[in-house]
Formats: sequence, C-alpha cells, structure tokens
Amino acid sequence: MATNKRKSAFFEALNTVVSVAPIAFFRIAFGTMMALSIIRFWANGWIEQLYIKPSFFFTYYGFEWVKPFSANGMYVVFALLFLSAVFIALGFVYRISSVVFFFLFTYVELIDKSTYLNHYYFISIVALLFCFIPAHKAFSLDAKLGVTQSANSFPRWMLLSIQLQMAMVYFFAGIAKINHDWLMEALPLRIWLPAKNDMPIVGALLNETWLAYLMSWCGMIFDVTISFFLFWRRTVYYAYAVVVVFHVLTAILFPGIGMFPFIMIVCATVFLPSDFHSRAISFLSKTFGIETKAQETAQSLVLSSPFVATVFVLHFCVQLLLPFRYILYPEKLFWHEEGYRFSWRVMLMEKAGMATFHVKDNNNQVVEIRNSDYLTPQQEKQMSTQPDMILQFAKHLAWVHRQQGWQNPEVYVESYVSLNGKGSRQFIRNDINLAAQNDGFAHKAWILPYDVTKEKLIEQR
Amino acid sequence: MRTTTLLLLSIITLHITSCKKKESLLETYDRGTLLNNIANNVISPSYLKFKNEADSLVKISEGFDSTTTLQNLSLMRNQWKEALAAWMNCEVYDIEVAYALNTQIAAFPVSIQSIETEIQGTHNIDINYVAATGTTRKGFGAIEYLLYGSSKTEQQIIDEFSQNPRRKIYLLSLAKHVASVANQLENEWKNGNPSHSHFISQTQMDISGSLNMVINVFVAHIEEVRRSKIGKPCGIEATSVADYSKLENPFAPHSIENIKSNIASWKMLFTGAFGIGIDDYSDAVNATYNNEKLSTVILRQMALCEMKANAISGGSLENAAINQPAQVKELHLELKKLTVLTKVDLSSSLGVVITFSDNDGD
Repeated sequence: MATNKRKSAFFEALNTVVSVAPIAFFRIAFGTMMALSIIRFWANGWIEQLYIKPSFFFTYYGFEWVKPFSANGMYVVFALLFLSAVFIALGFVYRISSVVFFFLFTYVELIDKSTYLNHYYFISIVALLFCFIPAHKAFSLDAKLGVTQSANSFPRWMLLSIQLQMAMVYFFAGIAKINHDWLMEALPLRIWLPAKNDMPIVGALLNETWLAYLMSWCGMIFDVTISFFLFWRRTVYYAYAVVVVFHVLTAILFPGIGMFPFIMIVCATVFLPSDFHSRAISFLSKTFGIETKAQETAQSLVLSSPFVATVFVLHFCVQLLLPFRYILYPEKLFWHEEGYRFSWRVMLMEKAGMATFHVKDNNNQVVEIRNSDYLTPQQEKQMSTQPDMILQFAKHLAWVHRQQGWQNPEVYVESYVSLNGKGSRQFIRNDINLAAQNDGFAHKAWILPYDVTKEKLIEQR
Repeated sequence: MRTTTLLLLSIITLHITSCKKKESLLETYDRGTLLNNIANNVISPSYLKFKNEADSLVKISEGFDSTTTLQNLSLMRNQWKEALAAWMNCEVYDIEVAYALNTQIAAFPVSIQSIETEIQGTHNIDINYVAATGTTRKGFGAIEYLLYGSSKTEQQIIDEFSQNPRRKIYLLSLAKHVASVANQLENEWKNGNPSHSHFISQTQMDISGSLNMVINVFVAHIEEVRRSKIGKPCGIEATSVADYSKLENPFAPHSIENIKSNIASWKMLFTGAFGIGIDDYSDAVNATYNNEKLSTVILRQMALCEMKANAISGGSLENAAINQPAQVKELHLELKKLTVLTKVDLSSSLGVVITFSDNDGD
C-alpha cells in the first residue's frame, strides 16, 4: 500500500501543472536556432561537401539502408528542414512540423557517421521529445488559428523531460572528463590552447600550462555540477550566468565547434523560472505586434496517455544506460572507441591517425590505395582513427575491386594513431584480412591494445 | 600560513622547471616570428635561387638555339639540372600563389608522343602557346625529353635539333615558360608582395593559418614523393613490376637527385634554415616521441631518408628500380615512417587541422 501511495505521489508530482511559458519559449528558441543553423550549414556549402560530393558514406551499423538522395533531393531535404524549423518556432502545423523535422534531421545524421557530432545527436533527441510534447498550445499560430485548443499550463513532466535531457548532456560530458589525461595532464587542452595564443589580450596567457590545468578542472567541475545548480531555484540565475560565460568562452577558443555553444546557451533558458519566459514572450508579442488572447479559453493539460508515459520512461532509461555501455568492452575506450558515440563525450581528446590500405588477390596482384580517391579529407581523417570506419572502408575497397574483376580481394591496413600527442602507435593488426571480418557490436579483436603497442614505429636508437 | 608557503614553493618549483625546458630558439609559441623566418630565410631565397637558375636556363637555351653544338648541349643539360634542383627545393611550398602551379612546370610522366606532335605541327610555337598547352607536354619533363631523348646518342640529339628548327623553338619556349613561372613566384614572395605579406599575416592556427597550411603541404609532399616518385614507378605501390617510364626524370636519368633535393628542402623548412623553424615550435609545445623530443626524432628520420637515398646503387633510381628493388624499398619504408611522424605525431602535437567543418574535438 505504502509503495503505491508513494508511487501515485510521484506521478502526481510529475503531473502538477506548471506555466506553459517555458515550453513555448523553448519551442520558439529551438526552432529559431535550428533555422539559423540550417542557413549556416547551407551557406558554408556543407550540403554539397558532406552529402553530395562523397562517393562513399560511412553508415551506422544496422542503418546501411540509409542513403543520400541526389543533389537536388538533398537540397529539398534541407529546404524542408528549414521550413519545419521555422514552423516549429511559429507553432504552425506543429504536430506535423515536429515529426518532419525529427525524421529529416535524424535521416541526415544517419547518412554518414564521419559527420557525427554530439550536438546533432542532442538536436535529434529534443526533436523526438517535441513529437510527444504539445508545445504549440500557447503563443503559437496553431493556437491563434484555432487548430489546437490553447493551454496556459502544462504538466510538469513535459518541462522536466527537456530539463533532464539538458542535464544529462552536461553531467555525462562532465564525468567523461574524469580521466587521467584530462585532469592530471591537462590533455588535450594543453595542445589546443597554445594554438590560440594569437588572440587579443588573453593570447599570451594561453601558453601557460597552469591555465590548461585550471580550465580542465573547471570544465570538469562545471559540467558535473551545473545541472544541480540549474535545477535549484535559489541558484538558477547565477548558474545560468555561468553557463553563458562558459559557452561564450568555448565559442571564442574553439570556433570549430560551431553552433553548439549558442544552442546550449539558448536551450539552458528552459531552467529559468517561468516569469522570465512570460516576460520574454510578452516582449516578443509586443515587438511583433501579436496579441496573446490565448489566456481566456485556456485549459490545463494533464498527462493521460500511458503510451506517452511509457515512451518517456523508456527513453530516459536508455539515455541513462547508453553512456555506460563502454564498460562492456575491454581495454581503453579512447583508443578503440567502442561505445564512444552517443555518450556526450565532447572535446575530450586529440586523436590523429594514418591508415594505408593494400588490396591483394590470389594472383599476387597488389595495390596500395590512395584514400583520397574514395574519401573526402574529413572522411579520411575520421576513418583513420576509428576502427569501425576502417573496417567499413576496407569492405568497400574489397567490393570496388571485386567490381573491377579481382578474385577474392583481401584488404590489409597499416595504421598508426596518436592519442593526445603521446606518440604514434600501431592501431590495427596488419596481418588481418579486413574484408573477411564482420562488423557488429562485439569487441573487435583485431584492434591492437593500447598498452601492448608501446613498441612503436621507430625504436629508440 | 603553511598552505601559503607550500603554494609559493610549488609555484617557484614550477617556474624553475618550466624555465629549464626552454632551451629552444623560440621563447614562446610565437608563430609570427616563425612565419617571418620561414618567409624571409626559407621560401623567398628558394624562389630567388630558382628564378636565377631558370633565367640562366633561358640564356643558355638562346645560345643553344643559335649554336647547336655538343658543347652547348652539355651546358644545356647541366643548367637544366641546376634549375630542376632549385625547383625541387621549392616544390613543397604548394601554398599561396604557388598553389597547383607545380603541375604547370613539373608534371610527370610527360607524353613523348604529344611533344613530338607539337613539334611536327604547324601552329606558331612561343611561350604563350606553351603556357596554354597541356601539362604532359611542357615543363622540366618535356625539356628533359628534348635534351636526352629516349635512348639516343648525343650526336643524334644534336642532329634532331639541327634538322628541325621547330624543335629548337619548342625547347626555348619551354625554358621561357619555366622562367616566367619562376619569376612570377619569386616576385610574389618578395618582402611586401602579396604572397609574402599574406603568409606572415595569417598567424592563427586554423585551416587558413599559415603554419597550419605549411605543415599540411609539408606532410602531403612527403607522402607524394614516396608514392608518386617511388612507390608507383618502382612497383611497390601497385603490382610488383617496376615501370621505369613512370619515374620523374627517366631520360636523363635523374629521378633520385630530385628526391634528394626534396629531402633537403624539408630539412630547410623544418629547421627554418637552421634558424627558428617548425622544430623550435614543436619543442616549445613540448612535443615528444618515445621520451625524446619529436623534433629530434623527425630530423633523425630525415637524415635516415637522406642516407637511404644516397645509398641507391649507382645514384640511379632508374637502375635500382629494376636491379636493386630492395634498396628502393628501404627508402620507401623510411619515407613512410617520416610520413607517420609528421602526419600523425607532428600534426596532432601542434593541433593542426585539415578540414573546415564543425567538430567535437573528436
């Protein structure tokens, strides 16, 4: 009985009504950021560079069927992405827009894993949550046009789910930083910071090793703890200020991370008290001369569907477990990267590699492959440090040579990788015919262990 | 009190140890100074030398044009070698104005048939015509073919020139074209001119930063020399049969000399002409390899490559490719090791980037 009571108290707490403003604000902010990101992506020529130009794509295991459309098709996909993002911001045909955005965005991300970014993964997840959250019930065209009945309050769990998702990004990014290289050697920041020493004013400071240590530790502490301070009403404003400073700093120091800091700054507003969002929205309404008459007919929305509840519970269970799946693999995670993706491991290591492939056949025919004949520089860079991609490329090479009439082509790789500037080591066994290996979730035994490969390329003389 | 003392002590110790490390020429990771030195003492002088040698080649060609003798042929051949060696010292700088210009004067292998067709044709041959023609019929390779022929005696070569004035005009135009490219490059890299000023101004360490670019072309060139100048023609990269005709300068034959010049140019670039160079920058960021300075390991590897290049029997890659494949393979292997050290170790220790797109920092 007692547990049942506690259980129902828990669900009641989840269903307590909260103001609709934070979710509505979040919807507008997210949609706007996405629309801007897509314009930026398009303007940089990345649609062409990443999805049209390559002749080969590194698909995800189990998603080999995901293929890019023709050039025009890809532009249509991005045009639709842009439109649906704008529609999400406006709250216009939101139910459809959110589903379209989720599927198209995820589709694009699944085409090629060499473009994998944690913040793209984050966007996919938020878009998925949006498919189940009626964020168009207030301050939206849908509500204004009467497509949906407007609401002025929401069950807490809808807001909470977005907050929780944000919190997980920070928290897991934080615990991933608790490792020897990051904390005890300030790597890779010690490599990356001096590269930015021509910045005005602070430039010279970036040469200092102590700063790399300070930033490594602060970064870790920030990531691990910030969500707690964001959840706590008494500290939320201070915490948000820290979020802004932190992300602005990373945006200045690492322009390569693109939209990520800005998306996080905007998304983190979801933790602020609802009067912030109400004021922001009424400011927006006044600026654009939109009246918000939604209030009169408003209703309170309560979670009713057990289906939706199950989806959310399942989702968060998966989210909690996924970053820990690396435990199932032996040896060093940063080296073999099995269980590395989809775990909020951001800016954690400096890894560089070189992979030289040889294709052989029964008749002693042998050819050394020029990776650039098949891959873009970005693909080649990603491939040379990630075993699953090395395998995919090897199998592709076997296929290409079979097409050219080779009998049972075998593919071997000679590869060297350096992790956090600690000296290149042999990465993959060079006596294994990769064309005969299978991909999958099992540990790849042909990856040489990090510590065993200490005998390096060039012996000390 | 105790903590303050401890803190002070540790700061002092840290200071002492950090001072000890700085024995390199670069006090800090000062890319501005480094780029200035590379521009003024490495790149500009290399182009100046190339320009002078190329201008001499034109002068001697003019002499050969009017007095086509065995003696002048020998002068021509020598000057061709000098100019080529000077170019091989510049080939690695595939940046700024030079970008993709090397295919204009040093593409290989050249097409014998196309060159002969040009000479047998009726169109007016001059420098402009050569500038516009395909890369397999001009540049150092085409000059080489005209000067050495494919298994011909010196007298036969002289006779060919004497009997056909178009052959002489073609040769002269080829030399003039090389010289015009050399002059363009040299001028662009004069202190204050576009390539020079742009190069020293891009001190940032991103895809458009000069140090980043220079390291990327350095790595690419090492790989290209190994693959195109050795691996492919010597049957290491594809099949196991050497194809003499795919070598860079098979008629002279002169291919190994180019590789030696290339290696020498890497050393110049890496050491900043033994001033402030990439090696000092690498030391400044404390790049190590097997508990040794990475710069030391790279320089030693370059010396090893040099040694293997010098050991090629009879000083002829053409001969060794057929008769001493083991020697060639050794050179190929050492160059591969140098590629790993630069492409993997040097690039990642210095935070070099190779593409322009968003990243997670891996």
